[in-house]
Amino acid sequence: MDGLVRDVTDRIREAGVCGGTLRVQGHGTRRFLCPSKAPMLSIQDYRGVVAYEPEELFITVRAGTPLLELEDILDSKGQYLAFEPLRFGLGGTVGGMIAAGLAGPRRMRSGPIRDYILGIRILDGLGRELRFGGTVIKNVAGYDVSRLFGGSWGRLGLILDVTLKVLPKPRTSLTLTVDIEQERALHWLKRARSQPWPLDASLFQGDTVGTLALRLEAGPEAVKEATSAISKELPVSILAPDEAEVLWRSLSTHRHSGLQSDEEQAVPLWRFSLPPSTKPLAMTGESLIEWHGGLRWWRGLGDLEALEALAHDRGGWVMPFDAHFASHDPLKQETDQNKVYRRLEDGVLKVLDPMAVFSSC
Amino acid sequence: MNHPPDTMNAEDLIKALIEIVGPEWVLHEPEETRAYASDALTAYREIPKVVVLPNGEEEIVAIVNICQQRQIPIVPRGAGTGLSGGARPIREGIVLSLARMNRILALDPEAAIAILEPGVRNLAISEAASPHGLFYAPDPSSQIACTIGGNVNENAGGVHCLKYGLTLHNVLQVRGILSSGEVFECGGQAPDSPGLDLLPLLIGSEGMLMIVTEVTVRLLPRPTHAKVVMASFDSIETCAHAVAAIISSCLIPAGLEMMDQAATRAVEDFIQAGYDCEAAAILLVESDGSMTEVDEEIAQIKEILLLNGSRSLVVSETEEERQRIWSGRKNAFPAAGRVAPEYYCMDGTVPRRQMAPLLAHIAQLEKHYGLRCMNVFHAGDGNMHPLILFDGKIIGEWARAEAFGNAILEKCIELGGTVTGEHGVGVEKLDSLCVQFTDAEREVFHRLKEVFDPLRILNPDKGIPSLRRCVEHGRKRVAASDFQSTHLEHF
Repeated sequence: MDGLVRDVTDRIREAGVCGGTLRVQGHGTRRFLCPSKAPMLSIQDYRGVVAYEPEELFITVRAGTPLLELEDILDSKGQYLAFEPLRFGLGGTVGGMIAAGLAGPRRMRSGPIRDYILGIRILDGLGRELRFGGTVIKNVAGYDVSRLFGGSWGRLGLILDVTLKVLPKPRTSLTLTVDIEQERALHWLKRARSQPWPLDASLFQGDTVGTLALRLEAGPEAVKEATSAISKELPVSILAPDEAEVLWRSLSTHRHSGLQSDEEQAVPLWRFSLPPSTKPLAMTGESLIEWHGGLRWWRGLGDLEALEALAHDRGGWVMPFDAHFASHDPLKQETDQNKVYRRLEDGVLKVLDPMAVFSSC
Repeated sequence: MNHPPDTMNAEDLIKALIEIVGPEWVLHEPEETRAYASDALTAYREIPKVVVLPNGEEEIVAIVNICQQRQIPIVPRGAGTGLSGGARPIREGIVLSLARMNRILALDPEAAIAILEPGVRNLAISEAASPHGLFYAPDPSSQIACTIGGNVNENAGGVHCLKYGLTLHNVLQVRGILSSGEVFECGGQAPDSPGLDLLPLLIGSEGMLMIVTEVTVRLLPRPTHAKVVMASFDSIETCAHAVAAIISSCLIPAGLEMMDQAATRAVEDFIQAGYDCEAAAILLVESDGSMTEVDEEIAQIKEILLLNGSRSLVVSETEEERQRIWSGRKNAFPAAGRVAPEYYCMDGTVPRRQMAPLLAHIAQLEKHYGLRCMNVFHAGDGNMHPLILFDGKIIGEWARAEAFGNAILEKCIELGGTVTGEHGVGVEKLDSLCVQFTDAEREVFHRLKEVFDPLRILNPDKGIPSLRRCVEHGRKRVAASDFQSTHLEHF
């Protein structure tokens, strides 16, 4: 194991000296979103649990650990990753999950992936081993560097291991569905956010009219109470547990039919990240709306600039969910705000990777 | 290359600031500025030459422009309730108070968000949200006075953060002024955005990266019911073990607080919360949610506590009773102020299973340093607040209290924890950071500061110790260990 870290360190240092670049890769399942041509630095053999203390609510794992393995270990103790990480098929490593920073259906309830990073051990662009954060939930010593790695796409350094906050799994999960207009669904979801219901995930699928699925997760009593309250407002029916499992899994594994881009016809899949209370976007055809309105998927031929204007007007972002996803730069407009953001972002990248060894996509 | 700074005498600086904010908002007479000499950690004091109270971003930008041209340090300040000296003035600098910027700019109950100026008090957010059935979750003990700007800069926690998270988890967007005078905005109401997520860097940055001018927070539905269980234990170890038992039974209580006997006795004398003063330790466990949820959870909690050595327990039956039980915990600090002329509050965090060993160690240190210590802590997250009691008028007692505190913090690091869970580093814990991080890690911190504040005018020399300071601290540590081994009888 240490030999592997030594080799990787040597390669980083060598790249730094020779002006080379490297891309860190686990299983490569997310590579389609960030297809760098730089030579690969594989961490998939750097795997395993470093420490797991269920009663302390944390686990420290090496970056190459398969996500499925991590989830099995947590499951055996009745715990889980509350953010339900988005993955692509059955593969994927913990390091890739952190670097991509993409949460799954439970995002609006759990918060983003970075909220669950308690500590990290990395190799920076000079090959130095650095540790930030720790294993405890409360920690304000020094700047919060470890959480910068969530969604950093490998640009800040190579993650060796990460300590994640874990939580007990809820005892009951129940999915309700209802046929409904999109506008009404979004309006209802907006109001539902201020209700004390364990509304854990939501999905609207359709055009102006479609189906809304609501997942409730908590103790049995709380789920029962919320179900009865919601039934008074919407004519919901209960989805069979196995069907519910398939539905939410199709979102967290990105295999839902509404999420497939049509490469043959060159029809891209667009990912909108918007303030959840944003009204319907009036796109033609079907959309998938997750995160209580905060995440909207649309497959269609659209003009990038027009879509960007649409998203920006509503205080959000849109990106094609393809090879341009991680590198696409919506900040390219030269507003003062964007210039400042870009300068600070570049500055932060240079602190941890002064020789620009870790390539962008 | 940097130009040499323009020089400006104090009189001209005051004049220039008056032009920006008006004469009533520039304080420079010692009787006015004395109130700004420290934050709530009063041992670290410096009477500032000038305090300026701007109202609005434009005024802040104008002040920052003057300061950056002349390299005058700026110490941003909220309500001054901080406990690590983060808002202690810097001799050659100014204090920039954000107290006047205290408006709630927007509160959208349906979107469950509030947009706030930095000087809005923490409790005022929940009060404004309350008619809509919402609340702002982080609730530091100083919540009546402390401000959201300060909370962002310290990543403030509170007694409910095991379930509801810290400031970081409840802030969506932060806007502020950099030392260049530019506006910087980070985060947003959309769940994610392209590029590096710099928000975590700003939260808990102790006024060293920018001056916060606007904060957007998420509000949560207020639970309709809450009950608290108060359980007594015959030993600290049993109590700590009961905490572990609760967590491993898949419960996340809304609050989980522990107090030792010294703390319960001080509190009972002060506020009569009904605590069992004969117990070695008491535990407060809160459950919130709907009525059935709470009843279900309280039943589970009671069973676990009784199975794990609680000798007696009380469940709050009314809201009044619940408030009374909590009032003791919330008044632990002032209660300490009554049993000793002064107290020094620590903020180390350790993994929960290390709480009992740490407390045993603290008991030894009490003998070693000849000072008493009472302990209150957020047991749910291992965040301890030992309160070291001392009398600053007795020569040498503050120095001993400080050494006692440092010894506790270094033990926290040894046990796998951190020197500060929620109070921040400020000036107080600079030496401890030399122990917690390596030279290379601290260099990363310094260089991150340079990215945001290349001239180092925003709260410089706080938060992150210089390399030189750590070298000196290293020497001191070596000397101290020699001293302790040969001169133990002096204590």
